[in-house]
This record gives sequence, structure tokens and C-alpha cells, in this order.
Amino acid sequence: MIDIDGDERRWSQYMAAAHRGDSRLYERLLCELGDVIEAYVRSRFGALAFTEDCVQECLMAIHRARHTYDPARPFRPWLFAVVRNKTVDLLRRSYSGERVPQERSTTAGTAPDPRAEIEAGEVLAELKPEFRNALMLTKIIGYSINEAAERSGISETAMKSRVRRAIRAAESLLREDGGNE
Amino acid sequence: MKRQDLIDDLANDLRPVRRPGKVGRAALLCLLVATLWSVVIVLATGPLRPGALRDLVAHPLFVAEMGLAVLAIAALGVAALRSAIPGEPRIALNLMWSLPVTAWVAFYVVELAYPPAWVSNLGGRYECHWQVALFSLPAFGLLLWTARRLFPLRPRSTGFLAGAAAAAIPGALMQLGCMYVPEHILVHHIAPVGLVAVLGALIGPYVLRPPAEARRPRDTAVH
Repeated sequence: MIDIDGDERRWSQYMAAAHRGDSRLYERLLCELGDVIEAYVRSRFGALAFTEDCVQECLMAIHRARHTYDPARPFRPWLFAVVRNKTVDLLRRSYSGERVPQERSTTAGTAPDPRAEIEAGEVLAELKPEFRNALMLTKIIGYSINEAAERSGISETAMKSRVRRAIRAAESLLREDGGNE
Repeated sequence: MKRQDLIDDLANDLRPVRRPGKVGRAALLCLLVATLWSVVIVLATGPLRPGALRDLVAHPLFVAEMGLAVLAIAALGVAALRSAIPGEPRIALNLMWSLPVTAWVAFYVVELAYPPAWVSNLGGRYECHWQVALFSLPAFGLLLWTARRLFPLRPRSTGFLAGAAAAAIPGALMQLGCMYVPEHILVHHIAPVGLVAVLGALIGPYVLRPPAEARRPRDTAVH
């Protein structure tokens, strides 16, 4: 069973200890966060080949940013702000669509739910780059339309339109995929 | 590199951190240095408006207006540095600076319709809008440098706020060093604050990049 409050308190205490120079607790914290980040990335993108790179980039970013964490404040918002940022950076830099093969769970004859497939990262690689970027930022990473538009350097209206078109394209791809099964 | 090796390296690289996640002292120091610089440079480049200090003593509303300017500057400076900390709540941060800044600017807008007793055409400075922008640059650089030492994930916002905070200081001082006419203040003293803020938003993504992302933790900065 996941104990969110317990994790929160423990990580905060470990980081406070790390601020004092306790490398043993810091190592324990990084080990735990490595697993959490890996689970986060896999749940958003499926089993992508870049997952381990992403985890290591995030751990290094956490190391560099550790002086900005205030132990009096919640740990998770700080952690996931860093993780989301580094994940998007890495996607921008090196996402090539290379994926670790995995079993499809869709039952033959059952139409897959497009959003569920997007959540699993299945269709992303086949989308146009601008559509993939729009979906990743808004549907997977979890940025608001405003934040995604700011990050992409386009207007909010253009981002809304791009997300709508991307979902339509994804649905179309999934329909084709379903027909081939 | 294996993850465990990386974790070992990072743990070995650990150094104690003083005052983690606190930016109040850094913001105060930046703003004090910036204010000192602005006072010196404003006085060095021209006298105060004749009667400006007398007006300040005689009119509580003028004092309130200058107090609001100080509050707005402090809020912008703190917000600039807080925005460089991951996970800061955006809405609270935006409210923190936008309310005093709006109130400060609203003062001059209201004065367009209801000119105050201390309106004066005396003491006009040559190209005061450029002076506001130029005088803000050292403080702007100082705030950007301080923010860069944190971990800015939204460099446009951080750059915008740093620019606004830095330019608001000479912008406010010009109410004592230049003519006091609301139209003039809005166009020549306040608008340059917005321009420097926009400049900050434009250059933020370039100058607020974290230091070179070294693969080996021993190469990273020690805080």
C-alpha cells in the first residue's frame, strides 16, 4: 500500500539531513526517488528506451537543485516540478520514438480508448512532432494549456487547436491500428 | 553509467547547504544594493526636483504612494527569486507581486483625473525614460545572477520579474528626481519598467540556463 504522507515526511527528513551533509540518508533518498521517477516516467510514456536516461538526468537535477528545497514546505511539488522539467527537456533533446517492445493488452475486436493509449505512450511515436509535443505537454506531463503554449512559443488558442487536432489524429491512428489487429 | 554508481557519486559529492530554500535575505540584499546604486546614480546625474522633499514631508498621500512603490519593488524582487525555486505555487506568487504593482500604477492613473497638490513641471530630466532603463541594468544583472544560482525552471517569468524589480527602483526614484506630472510619470517613468521586464522575459531563457550540465557530479557547482 502506498503511504503518500509517510513518503512525503520521510523524503523531507532525508533531504533536510542531506542539507546538513548526511550522505548516508541522501543516498537512501536518491535510491527511493530513482524508483519513484522511473515509475512516473513509465506510467506516462510506457516502457520507453529513454527511461533510465531520464531517471539519471532527474537525479542529477535534484542534486543540483537540492539547495532550493525548503524542508518546511511539501517535498512532492518541488520534486515533480524538477522531474517534469527534466523529462520535457530530455524529450525535446533526444526523444526519437525508439521504444522497448511490450505486449499489447487490447483484446482483439475491442476498440481501444484513445486517451488510455495516449496515457500509455503507444501512439505518440506515430504522431507529427507538433502534435506529439502538444499531447505530451498537456495530456502526459500535465501542463495547463497556458503553460504548454508558453513552453512551445505559441498562443493559447493555437495550442488548444493543436491538442484537439492531435487527439483526432491519435484516434485515427488507433482506428487504423485496430483494423489491422 | 549505472544508476547506483551515479547515486554513489552524488552522495560522495554532498556538501552541507546553509539556509536551504530561503530567498528573503538574498532578495533583500539585492534590492538594498540596487536601491543604493539607483540613489547614487540618480543624484549624480541631476538634482532632485525642487520642493520634492518638502512635498514628501507635507503630503501623507505622497508618502503613501512612495511606500506603495517600495512595497511593489520588494514584492517584485522576492517574486523574482521565488520563481526560481521549483514547485513554487504560481497563483500565490503572481498575486504577491501583481496586487501591489497594480495598486502602485493605479495611483498614477487616478491622478490623471484627480491631479494631486504636489504636481510640478519643475525638474524635468533629459531623456528620463532612458535613464530609468539604463540605471536599472546593474540591478537587473545582479538579480539575474542571484536567480541563476537557484534553479529557475520558468526562466521567462523569472527574467520578467527581475527586469521589473530592477527598473521599478529608478522608476520610483524619478518621482523625486524628475517632474511630477501623472501623464509624464506613466509614459516616461513606468512604461520603461515594463520594457525592461519584457527584455527580461526575452533574455531569461538564455541567461538563466543552469550552469553547464556536467555528467560527472564532481563537476557540478558546490552550494
